[in-house]
Amino acid sequence: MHDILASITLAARLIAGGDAELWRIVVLSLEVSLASAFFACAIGLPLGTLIAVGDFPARRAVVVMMNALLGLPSVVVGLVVYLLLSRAGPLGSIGILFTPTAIVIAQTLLVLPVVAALSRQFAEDAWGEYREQLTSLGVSPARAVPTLLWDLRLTLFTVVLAGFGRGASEVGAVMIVGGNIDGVTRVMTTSIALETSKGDLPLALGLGIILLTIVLALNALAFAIREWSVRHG
Amino acid sequence: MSGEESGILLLSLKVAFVGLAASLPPAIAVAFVLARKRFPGKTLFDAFVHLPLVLPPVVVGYALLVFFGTQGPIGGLLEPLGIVFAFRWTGAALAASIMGFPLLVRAIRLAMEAVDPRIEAAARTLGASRTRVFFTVTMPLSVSGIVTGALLSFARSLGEFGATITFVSNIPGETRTLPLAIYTFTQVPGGDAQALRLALFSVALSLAALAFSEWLVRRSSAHASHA
Amino acid sequence: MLEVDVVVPRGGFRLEAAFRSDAPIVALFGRSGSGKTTLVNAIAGIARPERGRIVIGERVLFDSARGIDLAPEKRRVGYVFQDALLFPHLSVRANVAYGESLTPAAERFVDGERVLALLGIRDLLDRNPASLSGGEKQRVAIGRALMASPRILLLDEPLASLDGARKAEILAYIELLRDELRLPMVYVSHALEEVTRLADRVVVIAEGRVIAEGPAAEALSRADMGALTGRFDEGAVIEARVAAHDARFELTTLAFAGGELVVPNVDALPGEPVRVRVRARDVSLALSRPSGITIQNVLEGDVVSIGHEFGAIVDVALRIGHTALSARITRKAASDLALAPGARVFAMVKAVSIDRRSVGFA
Repeated sequence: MHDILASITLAARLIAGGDAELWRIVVLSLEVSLASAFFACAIGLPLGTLIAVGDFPARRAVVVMMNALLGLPSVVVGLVVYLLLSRAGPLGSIGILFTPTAIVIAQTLLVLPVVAALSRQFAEDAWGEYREQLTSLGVSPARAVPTLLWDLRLTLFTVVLAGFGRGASEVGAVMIVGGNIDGVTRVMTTSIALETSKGDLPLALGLGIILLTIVLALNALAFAIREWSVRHG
Repeated sequence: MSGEESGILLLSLKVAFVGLAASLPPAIAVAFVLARKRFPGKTLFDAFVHLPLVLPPVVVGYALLVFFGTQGPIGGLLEPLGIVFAFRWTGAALAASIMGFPLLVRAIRLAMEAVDPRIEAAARTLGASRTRVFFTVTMPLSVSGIVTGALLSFARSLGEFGATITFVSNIPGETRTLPLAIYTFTQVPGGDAQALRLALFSVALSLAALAFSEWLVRRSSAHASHA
Repeated sequence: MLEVDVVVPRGGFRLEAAFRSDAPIVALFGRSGSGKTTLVNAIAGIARPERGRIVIGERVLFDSARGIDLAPEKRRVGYVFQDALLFPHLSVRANVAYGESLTPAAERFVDGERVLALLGIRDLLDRNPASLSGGEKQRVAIGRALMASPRILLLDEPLASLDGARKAEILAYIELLRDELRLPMVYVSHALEEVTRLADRVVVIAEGRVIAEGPAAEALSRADMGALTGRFDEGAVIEARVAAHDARFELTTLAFAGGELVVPNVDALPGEPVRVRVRARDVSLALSRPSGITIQNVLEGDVVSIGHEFGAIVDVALRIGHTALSARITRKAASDLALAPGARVFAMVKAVSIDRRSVGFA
């Protein structure tokens, strides 16, 4: 216990004191998570909505693929990206393995099904309510997608938050495709996993506190948005 | 599959099964309390139970290290009794069970809530004590939820990485479960093929667990409609 | 003797009810939501009263003053629910045996074979509850409750989820139980017909309060029963005895304190007591005894009071000998005949209007 308190004090000092290494890691984490959230949502939000309202030929296949991706262990996804990007792999010549770009790709693949599944759920509920109105106005399912997306913007924002949180929490795939290289691909999660085994507790603790704060803040914000929209219809 | 690989597979299965078995009794108890009881702070308790779903796995792993490590408040108490989690497969099992706990509780709770409380009341008028009602009525009627939850939790354990590696590190033969092994093999030159093999096993196991739970769901709803 | 005196909070309102009964069947009669189910739940121990006392014979089930509150499993109160509530995961046999196995051998007094035979459920024993019809489920539910050797049997609207033919079937079983087993029963219902047939004593409940209590005829004949029975059924319940049968025309004469009623054949032996429900809308009045009419029943009596002065229709309360009767006529008719309290009238009741469902056996 005494050790922990000492570590907490040290960790607090690192955070408050603007320790360069710590903040470099945090900034990188935020960058890759934001990027992956962006891409995952750009594809996943419309995709989920389309699956909910649409009836297109490949729909079944897309749903199956999304569910499969969702159920896959994250290390497996990481491995697939790794194999694709490694020197022996098909995309090896681009040379992006062990770079932040690789992390963004892997995280996007992991966050995408989550975003698609959540937005599909919300869109399905909303579609159930609006379907009659929209079809009577002559709006085809495909055109309904942007309408629904706009109408559900607050709810979908919580989905974005969830996607960001999911990305920021990922470690297994990030470790495989990123390599946890100091200063290049070391993010919060991989650092915590590594530093605790190395015994550098204050850094791990400091990063853990920040990561925890970010995730809790995301959840609190999402909760507040949900409460607000319930109250304001 | 080489001896090393089958060893990893067996370890993963051991960790997942033990983790599940250890988390079942508390999960059933927690699910029952959440399904039937009202008490101050229930929402908070419910949120607490769901924490492992919300928090990043590495944070959960770190918390486990703090509490169950040999220096920790609970770990320190258990060590003289011979129960050690740090750097042991028991720790991996603990991590697996904690990460799967919310899924298990949620599924069981849903099944329990579907049991008409009036049927439980009927059993009491027939002379059954609360405990007897729980074991002879509530539990049997919640079996589908227990099984579904177990499968979900088991599948989750098989893919568990962050909490495990943070809590008990990556010790071959002891804590190197399937996901950790996959990662390790990518760090070794020429290990890609092995990593892929293990990954395929991991996917096959997850799919099998999911397919089984789908089949159960379909079977129980067919049962209900047939009736 | 069943004694109940409780205050039970329930959702939006409070039930404050007190009654006593040592009749074979006491009915709790009232509309849905009036609190009847809450009351039996309190007797069973499923609902907890805020304060009060519940005693069966010498056994105190609940007494807030003395801090007594027996757990349901200790009360030995059998409960038949509205929708049977059989255990879906157990066979019929296991359902029926559930309570029996939990009853100490010394306290088992119910003859299992007899119950199975009485209810006709022996053939159902190996079946699954889900495969049973509504009537079969209810019979099994009754059997299950009985096999636990209860001291008293509570039935909460047991016929509510059954259709017409099933209702009659189960009603007959309950009458059989009442007559064959010496088991006191509390029967909850909003159906006047069931209550008239089965109950010797009726407790009328409305909006959480007991508004009438007593022998069936008395409690149900009050003029303000209209809200509970529905305007159509409002009327009087008369205690009578079978006097004679007319084999040729298949009629039965019933004697009551005030005269005689001729009704279509009633399946009972001379001397047997029955209860007859006479709807007010089936009673016409005349100032002098009419002749040359088809109506079989012409009863001489006096006007006690005339209800509501407004609208097209009024209810006239009558006294035929010692028995109360009610007639529903147009206000114009009442005015034309100058009916007033004390007037001598002749009440006419068509025999046809007193059908099988209006006659219950005491």
